[in-house]
Amino acid sequence: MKKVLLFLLFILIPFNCFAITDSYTDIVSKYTNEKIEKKKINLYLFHGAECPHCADEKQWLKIIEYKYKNKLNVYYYEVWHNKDNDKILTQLKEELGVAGDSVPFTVVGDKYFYGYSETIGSQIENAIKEYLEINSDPNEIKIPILGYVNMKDVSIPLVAVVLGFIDGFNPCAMWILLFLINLLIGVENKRRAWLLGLTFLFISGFVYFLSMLGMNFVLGIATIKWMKIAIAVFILIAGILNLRKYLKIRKEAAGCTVVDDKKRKKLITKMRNIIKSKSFVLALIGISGLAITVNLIEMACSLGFPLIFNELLTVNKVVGVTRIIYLLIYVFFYMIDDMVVFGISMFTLEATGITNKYNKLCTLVSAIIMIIMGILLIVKPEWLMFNF
Amino acid sequence: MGNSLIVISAVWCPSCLLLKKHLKKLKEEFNLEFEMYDYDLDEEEVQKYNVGDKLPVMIYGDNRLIGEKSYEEIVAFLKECKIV
Repeated sequence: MKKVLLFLLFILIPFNCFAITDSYTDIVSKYTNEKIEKKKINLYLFHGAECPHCADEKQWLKIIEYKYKNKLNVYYYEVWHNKDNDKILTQLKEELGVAGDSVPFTVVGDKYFYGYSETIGSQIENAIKEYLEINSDPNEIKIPILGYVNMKDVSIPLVAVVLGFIDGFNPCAMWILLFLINLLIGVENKRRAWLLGLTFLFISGFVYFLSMLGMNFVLGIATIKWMKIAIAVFILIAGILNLRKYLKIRKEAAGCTVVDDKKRKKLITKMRNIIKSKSFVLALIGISGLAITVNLIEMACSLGFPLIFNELLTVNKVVGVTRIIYLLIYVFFYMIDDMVVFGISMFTLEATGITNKYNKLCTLVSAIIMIIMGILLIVKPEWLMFNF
Repeated sequence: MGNSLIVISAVWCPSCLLLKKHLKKLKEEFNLEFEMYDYDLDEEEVQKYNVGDKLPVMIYGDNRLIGEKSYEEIVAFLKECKIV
């Protein structure tokens, strides 16, 4: 998963990450006559041969030179024994309005740094990064239009979108929606039909969100290691069962499987009565109740993915409002296929559905994701932390 | 169970919705008529055909086409049954 995310993010990363910013101006080259190479920046170190801080900075600069090779030229000017170099430094300081003659004195672009310490070192490196347009936060990448975006901030919502979307293809509750659409298409009052359908969708999504929130609460308590392992084992078993299901159905003809005749017929009768109800308020209450019942019954059918997502949030220590926002993103994408099917059907007045052809593939993909996540949560949970 | 082309489907079944689109095209292309039954509404009729747990089902005499099929697969079935 991490590799897939990295791949997706790399697609988004523009190749000008190491371009040089327009604000780069070399203020030393006119004194030293060092050439300014295209797409490269110059760093000048004025140092004394016997100065201990200068020695430290020189040591550090070797690492920096290697780190930014091909992008950075480092020039060393000894000023205690070399009068010409000392003269350059004096002229430079006059131009910059800097008093004192201590070393080391470092210049990058039009920025200068007196002395050397770890803090000054990171300030110098930040200046290099700024000129090279490299963001100082390693988790941040530059995305066109959006600018700098933290990969951690992007990756979790991206996972929410992907997992929610795949989870939404779970066919467990789709048949109910299709039946409802069929009834609603026949309703003369189109406003009533739309409102009833949208209420069903909204309540379905809301119940799913509440179930995930409840799961989130339980998982929040489950901080004990063995409980975490039990959840991971549950996900793993769900994955293995899905894989078994795939192996069983892979040679079967694609199509709709008739299950639980009694339950279905009861629901169908109930739905008919609700839609036929003369009172719109009663119909609304009825459809809401139906959405709650149906989604609670079908919850067990797709427990794996919400569990995985909740565990990912826990592993990444996402809490509070942010966690709720991520859960809402997940649920929105979980509902998106239902919304599309409903919208198209109501506009065309012809029930439409998502082909079952890809059900087998969906089962296999779900199984693989669950098995990988289950194993990772047991063996390497830190791999699921988006600390790139 | 004569030799009419029987289709058993359900309104809640996405594969059946897809089949309906194919049937519309078949009607236009080959001028065919189908005997349509709903799995839930026409219980008595459906029971006669001993339909399994997979929908939709197309029946012609002893020949059956079960599950979600492409338009070409349906035409091949009809050719096999010598309907088209």
